[in-house]
Amino acid sequence: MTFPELLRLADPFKPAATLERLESYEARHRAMRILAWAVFAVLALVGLAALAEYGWLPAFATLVEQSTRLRGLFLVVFSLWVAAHCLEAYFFSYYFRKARVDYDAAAIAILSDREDFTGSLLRSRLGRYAFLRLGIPRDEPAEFLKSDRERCPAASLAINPGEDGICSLAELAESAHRQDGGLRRFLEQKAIRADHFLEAFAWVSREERSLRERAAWWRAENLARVPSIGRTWAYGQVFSLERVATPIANHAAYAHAEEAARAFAPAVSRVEEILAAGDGGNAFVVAPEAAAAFAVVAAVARRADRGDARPGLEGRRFYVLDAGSLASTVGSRDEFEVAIRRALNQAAMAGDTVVVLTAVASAIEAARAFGSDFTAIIQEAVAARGLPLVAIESRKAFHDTVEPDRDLMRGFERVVVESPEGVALLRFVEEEADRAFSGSGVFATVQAVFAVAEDTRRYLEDGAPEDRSADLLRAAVAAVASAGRHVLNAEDVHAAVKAITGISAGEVGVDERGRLARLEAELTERVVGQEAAVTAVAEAVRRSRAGLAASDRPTASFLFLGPTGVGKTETAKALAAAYFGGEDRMVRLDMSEFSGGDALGKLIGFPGSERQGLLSSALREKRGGLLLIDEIEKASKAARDLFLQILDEGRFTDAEGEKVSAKNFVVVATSNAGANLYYEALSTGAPSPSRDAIVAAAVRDGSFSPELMNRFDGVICFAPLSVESRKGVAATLLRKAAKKLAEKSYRLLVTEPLLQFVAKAGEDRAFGARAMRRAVEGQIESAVADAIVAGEVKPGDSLQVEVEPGGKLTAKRA
Amino acid sequence: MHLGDAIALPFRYLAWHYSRGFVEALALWGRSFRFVTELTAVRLHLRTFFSPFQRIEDHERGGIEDRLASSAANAMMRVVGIVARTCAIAFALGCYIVAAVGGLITIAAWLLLPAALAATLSLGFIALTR
Repeated sequence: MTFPELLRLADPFKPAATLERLESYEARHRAMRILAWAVFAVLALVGLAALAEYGWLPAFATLVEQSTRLRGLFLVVFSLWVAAHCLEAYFFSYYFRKARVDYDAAAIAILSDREDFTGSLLRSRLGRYAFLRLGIPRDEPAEFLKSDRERCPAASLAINPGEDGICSLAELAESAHRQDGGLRRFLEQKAIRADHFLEAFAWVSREERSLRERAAWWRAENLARVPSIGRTWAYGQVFSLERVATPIANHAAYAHAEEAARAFAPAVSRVEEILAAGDGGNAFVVAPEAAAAFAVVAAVARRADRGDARPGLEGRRFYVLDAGSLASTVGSRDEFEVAIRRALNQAAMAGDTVVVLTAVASAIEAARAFGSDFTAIIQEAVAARGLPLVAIESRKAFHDTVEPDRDLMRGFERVVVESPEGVALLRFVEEEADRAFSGSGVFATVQAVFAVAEDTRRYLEDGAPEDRSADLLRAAVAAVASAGRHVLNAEDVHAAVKAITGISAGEVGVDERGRLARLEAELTERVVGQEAAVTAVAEAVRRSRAGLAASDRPTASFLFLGPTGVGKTETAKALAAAYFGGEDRMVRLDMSEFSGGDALGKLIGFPGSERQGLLSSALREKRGGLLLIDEIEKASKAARDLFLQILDEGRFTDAEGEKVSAKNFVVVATSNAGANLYYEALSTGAPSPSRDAIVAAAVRDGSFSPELMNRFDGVICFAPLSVESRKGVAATLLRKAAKKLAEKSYRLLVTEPLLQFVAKAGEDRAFGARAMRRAVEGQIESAVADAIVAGEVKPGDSLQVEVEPGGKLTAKRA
Repeated sequence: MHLGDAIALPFRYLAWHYSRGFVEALALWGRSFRFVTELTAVRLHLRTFFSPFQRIEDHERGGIEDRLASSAANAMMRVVGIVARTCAIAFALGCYIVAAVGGLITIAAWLLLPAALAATLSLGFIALTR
């Protein structure tokens, strides 16, 4: 669409736009409020003057002299007040005109400077507001507009209408952004993404429209909200129903119904349509979780209560009948059938009731247990066509129990509740933000809203996205409000994610930058003699944190290959401590315990069992960190296939059919496969085997399939420790032992013979550094303990551990 | 300040007031009747005029005495329903009259409003300067 075409479409809005140019909507409404108070005040004075004139209020006798002027003043302010309202009626008459362009876009087009469209857009009231939503102070766009920049003439614009065929403010902003290089550079300097810029305009435009629609009380949809008088007289009482069911307003979900109405707008609309049709329509609402399906029905009920619903549904009373718990609490088949039939018949007789059946799957099963046919009872009510029914169930229960029961679905229309994703989730967060902030005095930027939507998807995978994003938003707002600030930025949202999950989201902060830079040094401090491995790990973590890693896989994944006791596990622990802040951020699975036929069940849970699998519960609990899979080659094939899926998709499905995310974990698998190549080389004096040779050997001996091997971001080989490295490890272990003894006020002297003794233990091929640890923890600490128990040393003493000719250690005071 | 717009505004307004504005005022008047219909649920009360109040009915099946008692109770609930609905319908009629008369006055006032405003404003200024 060219600019002249846009102007032609905008023509119907010209009178309103011209009025807006004379005086803005806000200024006019301010003036109207002042005039209203003035009318009231002057009228009061006129009244007082009249009373004083009749001698009733002598204190106001002075007003009597001014009564003519007061009456004149009243006529003036009253006339102005009426005139102001007439002008508003004039404004709204044009504002709500239907065209292929909306008012805000039309007004900007009509009032724009033809030589500088960007200037007009950014200077407009909504343009200025959009920049506030972008977190940019007012003076910065003003300075940009004043600068010596190339102007973007309106004639150069090519405007693409939105998906609904209507050109709105966001489409004008998109066109300006596309045409005006100067604007793009300005935004780049301010680190504003194009999608943030466009969404800011879309958001403020929607806010504006919504405010105007609410202000126009005379519009049919606003008048329809007023509840009817005496509507309930025509309908019956439902005593029997109330014995087994509760009004939906008593359920917590009803209080959050507006949130659900926004999150699941299509499903809410569809359920409303089915129930309002009045031809015996019944809905079966299916959602990933039953709570979401219930929320949809609660939203419909709320709309019906407020008079916002379609005519056939207005004023209907929604009762929730938990069929599952009724079936499990009644004593007999007769009792169950009589209670349900009586309740449903009475509801049908009442004429204004909608019955919401919950836990349908368990009702079917519980009823079946005492020989009752729940499906037949429901079908009787459906066949009578007098009572709208809504059944709700989780997706899994629906597939397992309801779907195979073909009779039950007769007369029901299935409504599938989809959680909002992408743009829908973004819009939901924006509306939530408007609502959440209304009382907090906190103002959300577009970047914060994007951060909520993106971080929800990336870091908070368990549960429904709308719940998670609303929770994240509330947590971020609460943190900002308690800090006494008024603007919610993306960083605040990332901080809330960090507080909830412990995961660093968003841009790399100063602290984290330092941690990343120091990663090699911190790892090397703990892992001796594995510089190449440490560098590879650190580089991969940095790459992932810089946002270069795939977002639908784990943060990073490594396979550590090498003999026992060369630092594979220690590297993983050091990484958890250095990058995630502590070894408690590590989930460790020893795969030798998962080699049997029940391995998969132990990891992800067994169907029907309430206990979660070890892996699924640990990942859910930690939400992010390091997943260490020790000796992965010992895992059963099913368990290895599970890890293949985790490495590929970053998540898996547990026994209950729920998704479990591993996207925020660094996955480290360790294995001894191929280690014998090192020892063969050592014994024959051949050079150390190459990485490729070790990987090939690990695949060849069947420890790894090529698919699994290829899924890792890096396969890192840990070579056996050299003599020097062993001494380094020995020194580290002895330092640790000395530190431990220092806590008890003993000072351990690390001598060269002691160092040699520990390093020699590391020559053990089967155990490597683990043998050194045993030497320290077993022999040295035992010798010290003996000396302490024998009273040979006292707190404050220095201890010397000597190696006797037979290899025995003795500790004594130095 | 756009002087041209400011000068043109009263003339544009007057043109709107007696064309589109008048049509919208008529439409609003029509909407007020619909509003009264919805507010008072008058159609529902007419449709269910003879129904028992809140559909309360006694279905006892027994001897002649029980049947008579049931019939009396049912008749009573219908009477209660008729009385309540008559009140509601009377209220609705009152609302329709208010809407009709009020709307007529509003439409008449609408036609006179520009002149009336000019007159009250002038009178006001005259009184102020006296």
